[in-house]
Amino acid sequence: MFFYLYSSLVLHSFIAQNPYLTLFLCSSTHSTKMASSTILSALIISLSLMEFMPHHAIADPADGFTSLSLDRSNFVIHKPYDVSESERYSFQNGIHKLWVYSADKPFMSGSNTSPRTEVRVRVSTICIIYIRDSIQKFATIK
Amino acid sequence: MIYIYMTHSICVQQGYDYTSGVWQFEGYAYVPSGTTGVSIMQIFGGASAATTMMLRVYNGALSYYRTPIAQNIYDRWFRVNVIHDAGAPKVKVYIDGSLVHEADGNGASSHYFKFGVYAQDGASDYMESRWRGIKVLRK
Repeated sequence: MFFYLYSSLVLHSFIAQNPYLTLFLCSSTHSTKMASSTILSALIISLSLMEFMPHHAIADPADGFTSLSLDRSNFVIHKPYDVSESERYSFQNGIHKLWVYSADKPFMSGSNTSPRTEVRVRVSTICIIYIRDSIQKFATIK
Repeated sequence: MIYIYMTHSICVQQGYDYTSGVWQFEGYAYVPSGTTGVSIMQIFGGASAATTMMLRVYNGALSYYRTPIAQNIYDRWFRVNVIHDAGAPKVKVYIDGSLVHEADGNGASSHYFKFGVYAQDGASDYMESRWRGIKVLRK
């Protein structure tokens, strides 16, 4: 059993550094049942961990960020004040389509801004902290 | 008996604009040819102007206000990532995953992201943009 655990650890670090070589070795190691099951379990662990290893990640602007959950309530439509929303905005098959004409009215009566049809994304910034206190009892075992 | 005192705090986010922190907008945009002189995305709020950033389209080029940052954007989907460090303040613009522009922010204010079409100087009679995969991310 100790041998099994030790060899798993050694194999794990080996596989993490040489994933492709290990796949080759694995396919040529069928001599004992113990060896193949050890390699197989270590390989499964390694493959699952490899997804989180930084040197395998591709640089992306979103790396290190957390996406907030958005729904329709987060999208507020600004459109010329004298037309209905459906005359300047549609949302079909996950695509927001927005259009406006240069002769359109501003988004609100009395505004001197240029015509627009825009989605204002309202995001969450206020944290409400709930504190729940509880006392839990644990019996001691003698 | 052993008594353990436990405290739980849960942070539920519910609110609107941001004034600090690092925020990112992500979306895929499509602008049909003919649409020009228009802002298609902005970071609202700034100390010396109404906005901290505008992504505009002038004759097929995507511009940071008036500065072209990507060419030939008509009639295709392109990925837009805008990172706004409100504290620094700094703005970074990525198109199709590549950093194409860095700029200073525009001071302390209350901010939010907008996308769509907002007529600027030289606007075409008809302006349109399409968006999908909208995300707001925090660091």
